[in-house]
Amino acid sequence: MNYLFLLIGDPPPARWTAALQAALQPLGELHIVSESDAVQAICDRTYDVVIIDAGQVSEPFELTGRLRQFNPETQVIIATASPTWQRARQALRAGAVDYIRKSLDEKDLRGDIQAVLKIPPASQAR
Amino acid sequence: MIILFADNDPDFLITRSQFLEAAGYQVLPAGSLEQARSLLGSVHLHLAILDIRLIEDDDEKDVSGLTLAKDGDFARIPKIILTGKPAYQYVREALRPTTEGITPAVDFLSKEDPVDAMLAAVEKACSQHVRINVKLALRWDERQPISLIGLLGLIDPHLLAGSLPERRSELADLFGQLFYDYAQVSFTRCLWRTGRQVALAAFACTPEGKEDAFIVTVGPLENGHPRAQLAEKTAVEAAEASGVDLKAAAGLVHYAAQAWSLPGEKLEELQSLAEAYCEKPERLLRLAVENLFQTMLKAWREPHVMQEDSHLAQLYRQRFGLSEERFPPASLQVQIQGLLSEGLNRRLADLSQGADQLTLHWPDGREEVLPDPTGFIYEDDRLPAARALCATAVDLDVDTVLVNRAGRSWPTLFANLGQGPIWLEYILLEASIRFDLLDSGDLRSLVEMERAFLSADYLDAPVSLDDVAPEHRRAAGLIQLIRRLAAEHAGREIEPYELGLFFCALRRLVDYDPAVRETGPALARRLYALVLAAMLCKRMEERSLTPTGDEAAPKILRLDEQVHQVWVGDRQVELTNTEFKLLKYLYDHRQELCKRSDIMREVFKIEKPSKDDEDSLLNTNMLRLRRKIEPYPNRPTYIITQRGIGYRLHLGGQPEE
Repeated sequence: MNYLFLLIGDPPPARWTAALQAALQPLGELHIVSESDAVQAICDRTYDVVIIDAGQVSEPFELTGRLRQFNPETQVIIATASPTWQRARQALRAGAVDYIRKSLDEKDLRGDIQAVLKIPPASQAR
Repeated sequence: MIILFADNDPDFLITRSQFLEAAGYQVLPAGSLEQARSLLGSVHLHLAILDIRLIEDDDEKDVSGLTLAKDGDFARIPKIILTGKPAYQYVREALRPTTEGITPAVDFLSKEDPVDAMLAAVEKACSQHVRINVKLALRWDERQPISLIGLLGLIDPHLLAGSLPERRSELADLFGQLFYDYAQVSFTRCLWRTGRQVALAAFACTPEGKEDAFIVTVGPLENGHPRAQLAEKTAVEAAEASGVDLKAAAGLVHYAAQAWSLPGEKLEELQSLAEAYCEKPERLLRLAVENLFQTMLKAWREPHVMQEDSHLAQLYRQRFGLSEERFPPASLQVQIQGLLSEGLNRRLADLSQGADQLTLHWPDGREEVLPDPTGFIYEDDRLPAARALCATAVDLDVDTVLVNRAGRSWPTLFANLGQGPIWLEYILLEASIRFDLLDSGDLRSLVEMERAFLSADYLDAPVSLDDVAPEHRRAAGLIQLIRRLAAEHAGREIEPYELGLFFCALRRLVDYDPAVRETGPALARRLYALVLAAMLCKRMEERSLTPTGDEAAPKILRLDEQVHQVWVGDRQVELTNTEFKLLKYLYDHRQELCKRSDIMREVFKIEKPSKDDEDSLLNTNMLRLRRKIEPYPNRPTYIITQRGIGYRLHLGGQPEE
């Protein structure tokens, strides 16, 4: 199956972006947009997973809420270089389906994304 | 709201519980994992707050509270995870949905968070995730006041008095869940009650004043699974195709309920088939029965499935919950003795029990000997080996089938929807007409009616009702109609039908307790069921001994080991390796009595076979072999059973004298 992924970051760090692209390449296609184009992007197409680079977006939790308002079934993952339990709670309370560390390990990254892809649709509309 | 608070730190537990109680919540404290699990599984709760480390606070590997939150058995209770050692991985595990679609918790709190944060989280969880309308007003009709306590008495008759307040609260919440979007529900009458399920006519009113009518079925949760699982696709589709829409389903710890609507129908004008039987003309009853089978139930019938490895009797027993473990033959014997003795004392029937037989003593001095049905119930060799065709079947009886004034009818009991022999629905309704509508006090007139039906060789054979007592003719006419409809749907064979009726009659006996004094009518019904079961056994025995058609000229059975072929006359029979080995053993010992134990050892290589071994190997393969070589598998002429011992093969197809 060919999945469609969207990375939101402005601009996303090259090393991590490359790692993410390599990780997702066997699964499908990755598009990259800036924060300002994010809402338009999900209105134009349906993405299987949307990844927000928390370090490159001004208000990742608010953006999560906005994206899900336009499409409640949007699966949003917030990725961060330095996760804390407080921000993890904020992210998941805001409607993200996961809050991950920005690993450079392709296998770890792919595992995190695949776990989200396995979640049944009904549980995502929160 | 009732909140479970689980924490193995007693000081923290007490302190925080007090804050919650001060805020108006009812708190059930749990100081250990075991206590928490027990309360989650047994008590009606709205919300659970679980500490992550419920076993050992200093053990960083202890995530017992989190694991408990992920337990699917408690998925319907929203949870808040609490911990003194918050970590980002814990938050992910608690709030992220699993691949099974369960979100373990709705919020995550640190013990360092202020009390206000905890109270805010609890309030938010209750408002967003506890879908119970606690303000729903419940009204009961003055003419048929039932009340929540009364309803509890019907669906949970053995409830201890101490549990009443809690269960009453749970029942109120159940309706609050079922009618979440309504402001008031008025229950006007009880439509039916069967076992521990009850159906009520209900009128629900929204806050805007719109009124909707429902049939509300309510009963206990069984096996930990809510009957709300009737929301599963098959049952909903089945109901909708039958003209009954499932509008809502709810399930809590002990009870479940469904709200059904009959679009376009006035609930107040519906009555049960039993009520219609007493009040309405026969024409309307016949219309209702035809409509039920030819329109409502037909609308969702799935293709039939042949159960190759099962004896039809086994399928009936499964459907009726009859098993040797639950109802051992020796216990049934005792029950029958008790029943006969009580029947004689109360002058309801004069029946005596002998070795493998019952004797009916008529007032005019005549005696009628019938087989003891308890000797047949688990002896598949004595029962017809008819084709085991199955389909999805719903429970039918005269109380739960509803009828309107135009003769349109609906089944309304979907709780036991499941696979069963294709004749099952017809048999159930026919049996209900007999045992629930007829006055069983005059056994003689009932026996005469049964004789008329037992004289038929086919399901739709015309049956003369001239000798049927006038008071039974209405019922007899309906039974004839049901049988005609069954023949149109499932074929004219009467043996599989009578077999089902036999088990249906036995089901009416197996829960008889000789120590309990039943009312006269209830006892009479059981005696009627016993006599009917015995008459059916006699008929099944007679059919098995009557040669018909080709049996008058039996064909020789031949087996050629070298080419691995078998013929019956000039018909070659294809056998599997196992079937061939089994037949070869009998063939090598033809005319000799081959013991079951020897066959198990020599053919299946099992020295000490268990009952399961015999069922799954010998019985199954014997059944398959008979289906292939016997012209009439239920009347074997080649492989003859010696009950309890073994089998004997006759090459010429002649039964042993």
